[in-house]
Amino acid sequence: MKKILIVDDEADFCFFLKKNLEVRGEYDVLICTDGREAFPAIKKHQPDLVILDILQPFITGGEIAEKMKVDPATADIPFIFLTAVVKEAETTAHEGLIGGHYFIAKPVQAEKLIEVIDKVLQNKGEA
Amino acid sequence: MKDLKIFIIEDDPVSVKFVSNLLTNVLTKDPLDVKHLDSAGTLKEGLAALKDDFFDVILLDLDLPDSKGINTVEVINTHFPAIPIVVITGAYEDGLGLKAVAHGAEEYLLKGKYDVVMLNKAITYALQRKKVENALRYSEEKYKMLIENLKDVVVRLSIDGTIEYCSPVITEFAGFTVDEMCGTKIDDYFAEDAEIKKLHEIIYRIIFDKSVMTEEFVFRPKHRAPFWVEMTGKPVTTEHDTITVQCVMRDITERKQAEEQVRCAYEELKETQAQLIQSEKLSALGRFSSGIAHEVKNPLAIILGGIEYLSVELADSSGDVTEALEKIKASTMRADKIICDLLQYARPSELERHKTVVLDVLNETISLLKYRKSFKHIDIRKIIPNPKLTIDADSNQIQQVLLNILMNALEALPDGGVITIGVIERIISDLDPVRPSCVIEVHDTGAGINEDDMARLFEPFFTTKRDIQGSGLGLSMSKMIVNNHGGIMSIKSKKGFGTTVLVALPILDDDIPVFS
Repeated sequence: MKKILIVDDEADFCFFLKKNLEVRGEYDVLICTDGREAFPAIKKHQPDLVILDILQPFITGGEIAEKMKVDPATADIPFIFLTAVVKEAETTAHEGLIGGHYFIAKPVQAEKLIEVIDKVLQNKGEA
Repeated sequence: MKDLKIFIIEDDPVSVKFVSNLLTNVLTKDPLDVKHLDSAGTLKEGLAALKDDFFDVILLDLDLPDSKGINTVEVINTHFPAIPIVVITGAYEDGLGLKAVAHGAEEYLLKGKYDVVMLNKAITYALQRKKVENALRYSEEKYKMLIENLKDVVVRLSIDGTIEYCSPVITEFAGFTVDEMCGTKIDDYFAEDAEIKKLHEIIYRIIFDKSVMTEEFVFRPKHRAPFWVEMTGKPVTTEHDTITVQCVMRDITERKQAEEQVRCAYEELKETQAQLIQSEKLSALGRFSSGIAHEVKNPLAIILGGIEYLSVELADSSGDVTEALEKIKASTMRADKIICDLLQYARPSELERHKTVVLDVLNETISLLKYRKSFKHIDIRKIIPNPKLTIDADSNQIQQVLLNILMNALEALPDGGVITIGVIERIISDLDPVRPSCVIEVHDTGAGINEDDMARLFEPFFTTKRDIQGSGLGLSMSKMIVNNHGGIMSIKSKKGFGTTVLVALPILDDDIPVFS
């Protein structure tokens, strides 16, 4: 079981995403709906992957990612950005990457998200 | 009548004496107040004396040594039209007296058959009539002078439009002489049938309603180009009691030019205003769309997540439930598509220009459409003389433009038809009047676009396809992409003849053929 932490202020979104990921039986999904608590939670739970919503109140997904990168305890944990402010066309045009990071446009179908999750986890395994 | 000065032209001294006596007889009950009396024996002497001094009335004998009969009256009348003449004639039977009156004399007396009363009466009447006559002549002359000195032409028309009178200024106005104009029909001077019809209606109205009317026409002068005139007509009753129309015709070329300038300025202003409103709309759209996208995409993500969750949970349910979930999912994706289009429109991606072979992009676009059901009955004809024609463009964005255009063409042909695609180098003067541009034309044999819709085709959110899920952003977005590439896009359509969309883009410099 891979541990995935979702950081998104939209609780209902998190609720369904958790359901849709866990139905596979491969992931254990944790939820954090307050960005301010995200970094301590990541540090504490040491997930295999973090899904970060970009536009959140108090702190952005980008800022959380910065914190993760500079802290040795979290620097190796991969993350995926999930956001409502990009167009799908912008992410698919570069194979899902913007500036070397995975970006996924909301709304996303679970199947597509899982594809990316598996790819990222696989890369991590190889690294 | 006070201080009268009377001149007698009479060769018989006895007659002169007789008249003088009558005129100066103080016993007369109602005498004329004669101040001065003079006489001459011949016409010649008479004319000379009249020239030297002013007289109120002339008593004239028609049997002078140097002039006989009516001629005498006429000569004096010509020289002194303002002085009344009382003729003294020999006999009533020859009718000379009456004839003299018809030829300019005011009164006549029979020699030896008049007394002081008759003489006084004749002189008084003569003075009175001449006074009225003079006033009339003066007013007529004043009127004539006024008309002839006007820059405007005065024309009198009969009910059928025949010119009965025309003031001489017509020569300066239009090059015709008065004689050329009179007797012809006013119709001959107006170019258009509609104008002639309008003119006759107005002549009729003026005469029937006895009203004054003003209207503008295009007048055809003799040797110049037609020009605008304003005609004001009013009904005038002639001496024969028929009603004619008297018109004043004025050259209003300058006014028309000024009006045209005002109209052009107004049109420009309207155009500018429309553009302002449009760009204001767009910038508002830009400001709101990012926010809207965020606010709408999050709930859409929740709905989609919910549907996917339910799809799993209700996997064993009836086909109806599955179908319902599919439908909700499709609608969610459609809403997302509209939001994405909106974002694209408001926040276009940076152009990633590179050398792009137009035919390659076109073929890729067509291959994207091949799997559509409606594509089967479409005959695509390509007319592309230079398959290597290259432009400096963002091929993804150009593909999006072509996709929009071709999708529209497909949608215009639900029952099949022909789509002709031409790609050619051609001068498009609106884009570049010197160097040829790359012109992509797409024609479909569909029903064509309603005239009312033509002006709004590029307006964001304008769509005639709500029923088939059109967002109304396709064409406006395409136009924006083309404009961003420094190109222009236009659409021509005719009901029943299909629609042609034209996209013109600058050609890469080293690809422009050199004409020698």
